Amino acid sequence: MKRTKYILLTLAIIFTLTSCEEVIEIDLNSSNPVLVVEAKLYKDSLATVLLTKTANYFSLDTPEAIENATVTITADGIVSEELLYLGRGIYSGKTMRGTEGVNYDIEILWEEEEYKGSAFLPKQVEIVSLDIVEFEPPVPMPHPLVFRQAEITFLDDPETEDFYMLRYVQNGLPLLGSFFTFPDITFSDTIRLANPQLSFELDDLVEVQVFSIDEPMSLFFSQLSQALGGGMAMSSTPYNPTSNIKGAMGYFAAWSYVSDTVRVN
Amino acid sequence: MGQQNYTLSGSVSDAETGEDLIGVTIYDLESSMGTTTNSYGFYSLSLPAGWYNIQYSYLGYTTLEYDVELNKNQTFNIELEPSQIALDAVTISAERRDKNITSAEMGVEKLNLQQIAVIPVLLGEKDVLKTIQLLPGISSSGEGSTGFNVRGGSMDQNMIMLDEAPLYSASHLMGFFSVFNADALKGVTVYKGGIPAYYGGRASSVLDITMNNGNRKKFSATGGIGLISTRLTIEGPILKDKMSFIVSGRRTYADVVAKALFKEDVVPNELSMYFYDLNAKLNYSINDKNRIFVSGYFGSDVFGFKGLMGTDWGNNTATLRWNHLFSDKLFSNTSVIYSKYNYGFQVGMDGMNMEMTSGIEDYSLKEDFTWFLNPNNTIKFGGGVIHHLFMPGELNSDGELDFELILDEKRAYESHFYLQNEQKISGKLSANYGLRLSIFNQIGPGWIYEYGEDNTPADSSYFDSNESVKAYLGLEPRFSLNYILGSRSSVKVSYNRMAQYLQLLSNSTSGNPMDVWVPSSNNLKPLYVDQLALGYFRNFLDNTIETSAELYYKNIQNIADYENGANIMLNEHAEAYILSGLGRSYGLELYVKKKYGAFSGWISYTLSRTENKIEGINDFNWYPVKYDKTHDISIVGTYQVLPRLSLSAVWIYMTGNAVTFPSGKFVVDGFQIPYYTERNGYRMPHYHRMDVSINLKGKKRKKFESNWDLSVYNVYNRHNAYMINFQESEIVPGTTEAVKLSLFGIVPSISYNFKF
Repeated sequence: MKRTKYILLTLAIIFTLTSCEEVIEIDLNSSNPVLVVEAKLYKDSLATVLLTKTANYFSLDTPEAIENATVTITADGIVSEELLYLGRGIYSGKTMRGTEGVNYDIEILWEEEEYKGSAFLPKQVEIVSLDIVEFEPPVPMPHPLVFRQAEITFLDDPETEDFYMLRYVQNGLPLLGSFFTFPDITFSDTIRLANPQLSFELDDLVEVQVFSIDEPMSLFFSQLSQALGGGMAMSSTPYNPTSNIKGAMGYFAAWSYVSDTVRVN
Repeated sequence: MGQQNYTLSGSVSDAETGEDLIGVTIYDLESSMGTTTNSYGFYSLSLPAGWYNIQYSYLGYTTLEYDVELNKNQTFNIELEPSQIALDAVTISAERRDKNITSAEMGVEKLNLQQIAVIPVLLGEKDVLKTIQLLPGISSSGEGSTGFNVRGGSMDQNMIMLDEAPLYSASHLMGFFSVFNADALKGVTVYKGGIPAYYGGRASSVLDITMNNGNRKKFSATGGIGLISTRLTIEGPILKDKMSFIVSGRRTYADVVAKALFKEDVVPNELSMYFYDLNAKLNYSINDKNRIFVSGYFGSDVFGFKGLMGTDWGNNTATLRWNHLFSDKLFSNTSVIYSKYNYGFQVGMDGMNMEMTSGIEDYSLKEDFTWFLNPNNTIKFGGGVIHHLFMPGELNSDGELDFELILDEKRAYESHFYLQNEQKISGKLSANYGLRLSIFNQIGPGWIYEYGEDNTPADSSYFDSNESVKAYLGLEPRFSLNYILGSRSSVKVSYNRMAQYLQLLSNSTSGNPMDVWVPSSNNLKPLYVDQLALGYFRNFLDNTIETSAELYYKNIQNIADYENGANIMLNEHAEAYILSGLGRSYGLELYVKKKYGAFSGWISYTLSRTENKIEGINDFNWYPVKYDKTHDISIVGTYQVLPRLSLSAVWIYMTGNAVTFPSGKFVVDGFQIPYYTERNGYRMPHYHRMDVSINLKGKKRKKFESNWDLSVYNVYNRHNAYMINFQESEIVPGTTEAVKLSLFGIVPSISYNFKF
């Protein structure tokens, strides 16, 4: 028995001494600044576009805003509108509002370069229910735990290939990194899903937003999710999330969303 | 009128165990004409009629000499006695002392298993693959990993064979341990250049591992108990000197120890976490001209929680071989080989069951002949065919989420024919030259696609069973030449062309069990590698110290890399995300080795560069591959302090892998996102560490031997970077940081080994 304890102690020492994480200093090259676009056109809303530049990786400054660009949005190739500059790199639509089933093009003119992208505004879904699902982990854990996930059910057209994204707001605060994209791969007329990485506490007020997005946006946000989660470093060569605006970083989204709220009790 | 020639032939084996001895030198002391035993211990030497003083010599064994009057064909089956003196000193090679100078082979290393036993390794698990990583031109694919890269080749360019059966995944426990249980092995030979024509199928290297045949004289057992595993090997005669067997097993017990150490709320009873290997072999000498061998390997990794989830993967192989002597000069080997690698993952919870599987399965038949034409020419010829079945993946789910995703199985035939001559042209000049013809044919049934620019299928066709989809032909010349400059030095040159028709789809540098093998197809062209090497070899101090310098250059066609964001897991159209182009690798390898005496070891240094040029990556400029390492140094030393006590140390230094780091960042939706400008444009920090071990033998008894092995991995506790993540700081939100993950600090281990 004494010998067994000795062996077990040795094992414990081994695992204590192995594997560690530390913040390190590393020299990274500087790169020429590139246009970064965050363009959103919600259903029934005016477009808002934020233009900034890429910065050095360890820079502590806020991103430099682009003030001298010309931004134009065109609906179905027919109606165009030049956006109004509001300041701090923000450009806003004047009268054109997002409409379901319409294709939009964005054109940005900055420093004599032209950047173009397109987006489709899909149909808004209908939420059936939002429930808090509780379960205990099936495997015994060191401390008793209860997982509480916000599970949303919404209607889906089984005849079309759709793309969705879930976002979460906890007690009025958007949860950064909570977006969860998924293609519609089932042939059912309802989809029931929860972000498996999020668990809520008792009395939390949870809002779940269901975004209807197009395929390029689904790709962008799923790649963004990998980039933020470290998945790229684990499993593949890291890369920039694929933008739907050629030559720029970021995205141009035309989307609709619907949300529901539930309190955890 | 010419003098009549006669043949001296037979086999050479170990007098204590009956094991065949490979590479025993048999030669006439006066004329220096001679030969060596082949991989089955057989030799054949044709000489003019007359008296000869024939010597049988093999390192670690007592040399035998016979005066032979050759006036007819004669058979001499020889048993060599192990030499106690030689065994007590650690030796690195099992070959004749100046073999590196006299042989036309270059880029070849034959490992001695005694050496592997004393080299310190992670957690004390003696490992063939980790030992070959210490040789020049061969580098480790990652911290603690058994994966290896040879002269700039990716891991899937290594042909790893156990008793001729290819192993498609040679590692356990996420790559930290190899599948080879050293107790069951007889020989390990690695070819990194000048690859003979009878080997093929992979572009960069061949690792040919043979299992012991089993003791033909008496029953014996060998085993060991270590921190993470225990091993036991039993062997013995079934019919003395005619038939023997060997069974060797190894199992880890991390889960057993963890359950004993912790309460159930910490380590549940449902946990399974182990791997095992089982090697078995039977051989039977039917008569002097016929012998059969049956061998197999079964190994698996298991991890999971019973009733919840589980994953398991492993190899199964089986080899049936028949040695036949058509005459004293013509030796044949017929092999029927089976090899399978499979991966499985299951999860079942909350009314939902999901299962994922993938794998590859081979059946092959091959015939090899060796014709000992005369002392100056040994001709090898043969051919074979492999039926490959590729199972790229299935995902089945039932319960609430009911769906299935079944990727089409793919099939192919891979055939080869070869002819090679090992010729001694003069006393100073010898050459090995040959030609290999390989034919690869992907066949139906199944759908075949062509892809458009957006990676979606632009066209598709259905092929019936056995209908040819796409065929490729490879003509692979092989050549090596040795010119002896004097008794101590020689210069060698070699060229080989290798064709590879299989490729591993993998997102990681060091490989993982979910990686999937795919065939060359209408979209994926075969890999062709041409390698030219030049070497200078010189020995010192009566061949006690060997030195060599080798230069090599490789030209690679159809090297593959992935598009950004390539989705290769469970994707019917993964081929669409593969880009192919040109590759090149070149380098200098320096090697100093002391083979004999109380102190032995080697220093190896490799200076190299490996890069690709592929349209769609880095603006079609040359860029380094992930596993490119400019400098790679290994220093290995073993000192026999006392007859029962030896000390060993290994020091390793290498340039960090080429990696993709951000050259900037941008902000979207409040997230700080890394901005990348080029693939593999940065380097991980340099890697270095030292391992040490003490090996203490127990007092020798008549029927029992034992030893303790105490090892310390990474003795100066260097935190080598396994991975660097670029992320937003949790402490100061809005700022970004680089976080280094180190896997192993200082890791001590102890093991006890025995033999009786």
